[in-house]
Amino acid sequence: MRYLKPGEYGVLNFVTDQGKGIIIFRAIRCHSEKPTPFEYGSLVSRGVLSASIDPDTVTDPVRFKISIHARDINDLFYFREADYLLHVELKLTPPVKVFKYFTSGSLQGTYNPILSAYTDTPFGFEWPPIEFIAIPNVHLDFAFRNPYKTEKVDPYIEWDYMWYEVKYPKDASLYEAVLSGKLKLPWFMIYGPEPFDYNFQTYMKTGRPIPIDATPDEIRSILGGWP
Amino acid sequence: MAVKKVIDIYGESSGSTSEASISLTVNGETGKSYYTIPQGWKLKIYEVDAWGKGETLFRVRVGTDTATLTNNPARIGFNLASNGQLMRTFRMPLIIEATSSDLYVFVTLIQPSAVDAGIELHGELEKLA
Repeated sequence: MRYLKPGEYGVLNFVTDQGKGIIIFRAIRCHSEKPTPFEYGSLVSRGVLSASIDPDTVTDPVRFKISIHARDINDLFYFREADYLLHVELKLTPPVKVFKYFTSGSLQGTYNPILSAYTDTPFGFEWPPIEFIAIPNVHLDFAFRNPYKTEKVDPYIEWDYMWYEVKYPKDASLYEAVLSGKLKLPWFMIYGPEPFDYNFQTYMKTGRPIPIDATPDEIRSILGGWP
Repeated sequence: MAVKKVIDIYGESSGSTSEASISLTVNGETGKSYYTIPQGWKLKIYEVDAWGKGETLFRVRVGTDTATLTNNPARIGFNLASNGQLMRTFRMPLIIEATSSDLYVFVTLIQPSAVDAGIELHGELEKLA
């Protein structure tokens, strides 16, 4: 787990219906010096689940909602501001298997092109901590499987987060340096093998991502089409 | 770095022949009928020191029911055979995780004939995540 400092660059590696490839961002500002804890509470106490999870049972995909100071927020990882990213490390106690529906409806974690992930298969889940970057205008859903044979569990959830105010540089030489391996930057998978629908122009004020095997001319051509 | 806080829980009683919870002193604060583990923390009990003027069975009950003591399952017991003292240090502490905000620790005793007795639990609180 490494959070970015102001001025540092990172790479978002997208798999979407609109294309696969990377978009480089630069963190202009971070909202805190170090990751900030968010003590969410348990799934039952927040009303996300009606009861503790039974042994060997998987929940429906849920979102982290909260009612706080008379405001009802349906999804704490949802935001619309195009120039922000949210870096999260999600922790659960006791640890349960986490199935990531990133974005909502797309279960990530498929084993290979033939074996798709389902919540009753022995793959497709992750153990906490779960690290991810939330991008604008997506809902991130989570399903939880209680792997314990005797105990019901109501996981307590807490996460560390860092808000990045970002810019997406239209610098072809920067993309060339990253794609040629001359410049090493932190990469973040958005989000997994299952593509999701995403409107880059509206949600992130960028264009489509740059394919990893793009030639310098292709990079310039794609960046030229960005707003 | 893990966030931690030391804790000691002490209670004494003039005795009871039916199971009764002991009024507790927690880190110097008196008069607690039970100890509430804060949500998102775990209580680790490393050491127990019990004394009594006669045979006494101590129990640590943990649960969510403040109305009916016996609805909270006993998690650990210490039996003092006769007048004396019982000290026990755990190689692996008893760890109670509070994922909800209503998890209470009761210390009870029961004796064949009521005599003075007391018990102290040493441990620490630590953040769950």
